[in-house]
Amino acid sequence: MKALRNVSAALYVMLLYGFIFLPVLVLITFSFQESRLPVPPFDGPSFKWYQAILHDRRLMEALSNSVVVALLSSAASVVLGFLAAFSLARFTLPGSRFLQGLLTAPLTVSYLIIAMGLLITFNEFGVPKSLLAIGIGHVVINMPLCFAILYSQMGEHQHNVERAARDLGAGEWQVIFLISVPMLWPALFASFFLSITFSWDEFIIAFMVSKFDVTLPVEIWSMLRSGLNPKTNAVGSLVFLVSFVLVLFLELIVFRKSRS
Amino acid sequence: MLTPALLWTLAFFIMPLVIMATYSLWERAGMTLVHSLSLTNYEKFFDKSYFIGSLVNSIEVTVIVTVVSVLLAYPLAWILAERVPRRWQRLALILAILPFWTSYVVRSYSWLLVLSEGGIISNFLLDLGLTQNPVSFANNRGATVVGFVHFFVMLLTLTIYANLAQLSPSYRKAAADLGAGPMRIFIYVILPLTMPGIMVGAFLTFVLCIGDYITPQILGGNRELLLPQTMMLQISRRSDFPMASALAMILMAVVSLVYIACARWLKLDRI
Amino acid sequence: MTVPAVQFLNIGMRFGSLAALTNINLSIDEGAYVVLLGPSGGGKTTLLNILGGFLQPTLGQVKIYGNDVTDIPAAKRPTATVFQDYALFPHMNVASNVAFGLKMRKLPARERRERVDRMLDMVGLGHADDLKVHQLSGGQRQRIALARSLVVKPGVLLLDEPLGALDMKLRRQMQGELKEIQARVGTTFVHVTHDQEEAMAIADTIVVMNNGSIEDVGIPERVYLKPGSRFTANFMGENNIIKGRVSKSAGDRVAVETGHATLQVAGTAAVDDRVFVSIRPEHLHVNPGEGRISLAEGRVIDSGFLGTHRQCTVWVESVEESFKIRLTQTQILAPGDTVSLYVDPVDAVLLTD
Repeated sequence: MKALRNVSAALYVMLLYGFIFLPVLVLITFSFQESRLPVPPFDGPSFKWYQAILHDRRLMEALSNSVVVALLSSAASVVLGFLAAFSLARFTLPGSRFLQGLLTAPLTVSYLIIAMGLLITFNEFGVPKSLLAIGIGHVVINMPLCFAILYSQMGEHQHNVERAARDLGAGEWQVIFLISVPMLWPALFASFFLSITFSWDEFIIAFMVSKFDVTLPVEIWSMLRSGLNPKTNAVGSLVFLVSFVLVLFLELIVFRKSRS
Repeated sequence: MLTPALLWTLAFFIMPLVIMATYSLWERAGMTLVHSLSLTNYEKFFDKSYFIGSLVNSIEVTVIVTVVSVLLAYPLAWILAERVPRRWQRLALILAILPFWTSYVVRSYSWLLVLSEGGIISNFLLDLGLTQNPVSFANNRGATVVGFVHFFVMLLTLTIYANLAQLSPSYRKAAADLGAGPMRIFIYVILPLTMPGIMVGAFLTFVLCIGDYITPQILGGNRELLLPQTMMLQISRRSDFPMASALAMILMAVVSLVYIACARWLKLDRI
Repeated sequence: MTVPAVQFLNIGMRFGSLAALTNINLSIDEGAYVVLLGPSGGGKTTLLNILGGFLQPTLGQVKIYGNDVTDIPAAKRPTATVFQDYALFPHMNVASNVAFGLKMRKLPARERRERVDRMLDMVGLGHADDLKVHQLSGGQRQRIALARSLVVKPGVLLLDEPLGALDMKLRRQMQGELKEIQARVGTTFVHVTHDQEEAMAIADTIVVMNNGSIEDVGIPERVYLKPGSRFTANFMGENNIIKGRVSKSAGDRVAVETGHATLQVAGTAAVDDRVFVSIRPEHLHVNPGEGRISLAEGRVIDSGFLGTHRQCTVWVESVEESFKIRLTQTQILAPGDTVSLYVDPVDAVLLTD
């Protein structure tokens, strides 16, 4: 009886993992397709589509745009989120609960609605569609996250250490830079990393408030207009590879260090 | 110190919502906007089957996706938490998330590679001789559901697993000690105690799914549109910001209702 | 000769290469309050889990009222357990929690209700049936856990460090209540703890366990005053262990030559054997008296007032050892004072391990 349960469990897991991996495996396999259509039969392997991406100027520009937008908007999100979390955690302000709710509210609204809101607002005030607009949108969605993570880490223990520092004569900004920030390092890093992840792959806001300069997901979207194309496969596989390597790097180097 | 964050939220989140709410009460007339307040857009929504139909479609699809994803995810979360040796659990979870590390857009696109005419499944059926001509499973509601379930099974597995993993083993022992067999332990103890994980995951699934434009646009075909697609059409094809705003308000209302329902449910069953 | 409530026959338990229990043979009488006492990792919780059916022993048999239950899972054994963290079901109210075992036994609702109400009254929480678990205090949760296990009328009730999470005062109070409840229901209780004072306060029989073996079994008085092993002597309370050599042996008395005096103690050993003698601090006196012999001379190096008594540490130069002694509240000795130690050999315990 137990053997039957174990076999059915194993079968279920295999089926489900198969389902989860199927599209990505197909994607990667046919990115090495020789012919024009990324569907069976497989006549590769060929790297020509990867070469095509690397030589695609628009694509490469979109890629660097994505990186810039992600880095800058995430940095802004972390800084704003940290300042907000610090002031709410350290100083008793009236309506603190309400302010917390207000700052985390964007987490509850669909990106599509935020995107539309920004589009209409920018349109109303004559703000041009641009990478800056995308960046602004990304701060809107990421800052609440940073705030929430950092606020949750500013507990009593942290507070006491800061009080000790003040007791020893440190000024406000010294406390922040010499004590609070270093102590919060893991949370700061986590929020920064999370923000980059969300910004990097974000589509709908970028799609709606950009025009000529676009980010990678938007550029990929326009590639979809040409239907099934191994070039699209190659881009997707490359993004996958980069993410994989990045996480591996983090896991091995950054997290191993903190664990030892 | 607090002010930059507050100002940002007010300027780029609150204000746009207020502007959208206002726009929803205006009307588009040619190239300009009629600035008198009226409920015409909302009336149009309830009148035209085109509009209200897309909301109904969205709700139907979202409900199906949520239910199917929960049913598929729970056993997987269970097996990962209970049957997989502790050492391998983290790896198993990472493996489950791995395929989603590619762009969300590309992920949806990859289902086209599987479901399209001439795609993987089509070829498979041809090779087996089960069909004479290439078959397409894409560009319909089913494909959209598959595309969504693919993503949300992963999400729900995570939330349910997290809930299962932090359950104290004492509950199981106590129930067994008092005479409950494995089935009754599950029904009376485990299932109720994992409801929070299910509800949180289901709520996230509902909200993310109903507001998603990408998956239905890539996989759904043109015959049946979901609400996000209708919204985008108002902007791209018709430049009808007021109508789009009204649809956005309606979407927010639907999500808020579901949120209230979930919050109330969770409070009733407070742990 | 009635059948014992519990019998452990040659129980052994291995976890991989670790031997958690070795050759446990123990018999527990019906209606007794037995305490398994020992340090963490000593095996007492493992033995309890084996009795409860949560662990299968690698070797040996478990019998409950003469029936071999070794292969029977927890759900079907006539035992009920009070867990260390209580394991009350957070999503059910008090009444449902307590009724759970009865529900599993398919008792009709009305009967369940009656028995639950009676049990809640017995533990002093008759008004609490609608409350949720998170609304209860630690002590109240402890009682509900007890009620939940007792209401199913188990053959043996198991308690896994049930008072560990409570503060000192509450613990003392609960010890009395547990003893009282046990006397009232007459069920055999097997209680695990690492607190020797708790064990002495409530047990009919104490089983001292260490490193997977049973060190000593007996009533509290005997285990404390005449410990069977060095570990037991040390574990049961403050203790002075003196090394010695047997100089004479006759019947059940031996003469032990320590560095200080020769002690005539009860026990058997061969001449020239290296042995230990245990003397409790309260049995070392600073004045001569009836039956006492002079043991050693020393200097006080430490003195502390502990409320009920004064405790001092005396350094004896000749053997380079320190002794712990107890004085009354009014006897005052300060560090630096010289002192003579006397003992009545009847209070000395021979330990041959």
